[in-house]
Amino acid sequence: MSRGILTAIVVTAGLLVLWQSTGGDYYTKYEVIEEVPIELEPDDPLAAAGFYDDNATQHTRRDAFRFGLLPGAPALLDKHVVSVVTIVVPYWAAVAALTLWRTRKRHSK
Amino acid sequence: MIQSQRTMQYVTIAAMLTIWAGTAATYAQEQQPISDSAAADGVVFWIDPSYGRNSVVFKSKAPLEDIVGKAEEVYGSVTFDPARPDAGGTGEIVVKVGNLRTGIPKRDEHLRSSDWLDAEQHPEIRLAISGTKGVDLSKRIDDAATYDMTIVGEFALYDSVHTVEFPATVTFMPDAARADKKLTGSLLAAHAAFTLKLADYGITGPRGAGIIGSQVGEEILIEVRLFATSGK
Repeated sequence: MSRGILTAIVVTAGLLVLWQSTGGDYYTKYEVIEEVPIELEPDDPLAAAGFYDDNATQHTRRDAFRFGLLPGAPALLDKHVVSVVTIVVPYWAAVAALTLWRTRKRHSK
Repeated sequence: MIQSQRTMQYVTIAAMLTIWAGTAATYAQEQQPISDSAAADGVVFWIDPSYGRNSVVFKSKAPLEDIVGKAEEVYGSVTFDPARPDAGGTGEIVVKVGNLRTGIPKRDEHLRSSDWLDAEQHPEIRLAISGTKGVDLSKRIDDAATYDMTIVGEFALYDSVHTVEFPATVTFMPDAARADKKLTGSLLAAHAAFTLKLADYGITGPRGAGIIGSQVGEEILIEVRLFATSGK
């Protein structure tokens, strides 16, 4: 196996690990909307009245990086374009083209 | 017995909730009651758009993707008559389409485009509350009363208006009972959830793209938690 293919495998595996470790989202994001527990203050009258008994969570939007499987935007200059697919596919294409070119060059000698 | 007397003495509820969309930017600045008749039926409670705990969340589940979004601000007011707990309530809750966020700016742009909610033509999503049904006191702690009820209203989204009914939990707390004064006046807090079908409102997504059903759910779950006060 060529060094190029080995490198491509390592890069792909690394990106998949990064994808999973940042949440495993489909699309690349720089902000997330997530459900978090409400931080109830001790003297919160609504808590005392039982308003939060059924559900004490709320959705908040905050800055956070999620490396996606797919790009969050189709534009090349958009920061959301980085993703597993947009890096891995060109990388493997380049490795395949280089490997093919080297193989043909070797056979032509 | 004592409890039921107190129930009659205090409130009853009317009103709440819900959703969405749009752009009619003048609503918050005007801060006017929905109508004189609505105000005449009881106390007007205002939703403070800047209060961080107000929350209108929409959730889509589809085979290719789950989407969670929220409205950055919610506007509106509701009324209820403390002397007539069963009289229901009225109100209007508004969300601007331009304030909807999903975590991906490009997707937010699509949401506002003419293929989806068309913020230019339909800048707001409105719930006009016309009444309540089945008001039932579920909890009373000191002066605070929590009610389960069904809210009835007209939900306007995109180019359609449909009657909706959905369960809600509403807590009323008179001003004197509140230790914290981050919000002034008596307090009405509500949470509720309901589901709408995009097809019912004429929302199809880009023609022929088949996005609804694959990337966007055919039904959208809307979860609302709102706080309104009688103070200004």
